[in-house]
Amino acid sequence: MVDGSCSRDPGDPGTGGEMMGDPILADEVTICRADAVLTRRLLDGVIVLASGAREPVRVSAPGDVLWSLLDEACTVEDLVAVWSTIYDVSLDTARTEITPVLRAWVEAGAVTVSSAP
Amino acid sequence: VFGPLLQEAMHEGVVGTVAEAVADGALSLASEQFDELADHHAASQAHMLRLERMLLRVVAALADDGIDVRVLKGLALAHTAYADPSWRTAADIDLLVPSSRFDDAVAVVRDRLGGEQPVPELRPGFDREFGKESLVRVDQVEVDLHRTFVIGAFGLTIDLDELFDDGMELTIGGTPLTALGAEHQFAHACYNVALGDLPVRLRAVRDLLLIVDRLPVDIDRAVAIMQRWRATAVAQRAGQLVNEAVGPAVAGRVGDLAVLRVPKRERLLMRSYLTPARSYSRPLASLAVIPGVRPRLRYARALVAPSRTYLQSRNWSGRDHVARALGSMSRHG
Repeated sequence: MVDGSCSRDPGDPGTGGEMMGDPILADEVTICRADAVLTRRLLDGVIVLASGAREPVRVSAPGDVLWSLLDEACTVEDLVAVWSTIYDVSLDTARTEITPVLRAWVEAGAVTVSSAP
Repeated sequence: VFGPLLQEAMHEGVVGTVAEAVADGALSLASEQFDELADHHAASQAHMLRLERMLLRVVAALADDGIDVRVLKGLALAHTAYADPSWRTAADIDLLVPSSRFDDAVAVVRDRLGGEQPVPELRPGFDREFGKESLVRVDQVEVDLHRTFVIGAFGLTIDLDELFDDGMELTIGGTPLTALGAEHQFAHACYNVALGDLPVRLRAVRDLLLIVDRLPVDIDRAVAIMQRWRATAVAQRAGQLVNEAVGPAVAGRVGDLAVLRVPKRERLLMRSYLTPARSYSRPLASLAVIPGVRPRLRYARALVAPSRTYLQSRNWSGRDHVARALGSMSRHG
């Protein structure tokens, strides 16, 4: 089982700046759950197994909130904005916090990304 | 207190139920207890996801061969009877396959998916005609291909074709699958309570109660089905055991089954499941319900003289097999 924990520590240096320069997770990119992804609610998060992944990815709370947001396709910009609102943090901090989770899910094939036309 | 509680929950197969109680606020835990439970629950759910992925592979392979199936037990109940699939755990995959395609189904899982059959059938054709299930292991996952619900006489009186007449749709990973219809799920859960593990496991009791609570079960119709299958004794014992496990107030309508009148013949068949020598008494009782002389002879021959492949898989000789059976029967009366 892979740990894709989401940091909620505002002091965490994170990788927020990278995401802005990362074309895979650029603001206009749309993200949604992959079709055949299997998932379960946990006591402290969520666990996800994509069809091509070897192992499930366990994401601790509040990363599960991100997963529930992806119930519908949305842009990275929207995710950042919603996260920023929910947890009352700056947009940069929100980016920093959600980047590792999104990246783990992209790498695991649990979500699909598509650029705006 | 928490350590023994968790151990008991794991033994009874209800770690998910304890997790649900914590999530609902019905049970509060200290921080380290919560973490311990969360880790156990996460491990069980990681296993469930691996099972579901294998389930989709198996069902797709069988569908390619035109074999209809019904998803049984844990993987079906998690998505039909439980408030959230996360609150049910399972150890393996259980699928019901039509008797007429049983050999084909085993061959598909074994040959196309690279499965292994650790225990061969007693004699060629036995499982298709009389067996309960065939276990095929694929990538460390146990796939139980069921022909009927239980071993022994009560598994042989079920109208197996009827189980495919209806079904309940569930969706796993975006793929539509089919479980048994509501009344048949109820009946199957009664078999699991009445004739499964001794003593009955709390998970089996909970399954039956949740089926009644959450599925559109017509209990009168379900009981009529079981009476037609000559399984009134199964329904009655299920009601009695659920009453004993949770009390009549919680058992509700399931507990009412305990007062069903059981025909004498069924009481005798039930005894074959409850004796310590049941691994031998059940097959003997089966002879009483198998219709026709030739099928009975085939059944008896398989019991007395299993194939060499079967005996080798158990490191037995033919003489060992008979001596073991006679010894067990005489020891336990």
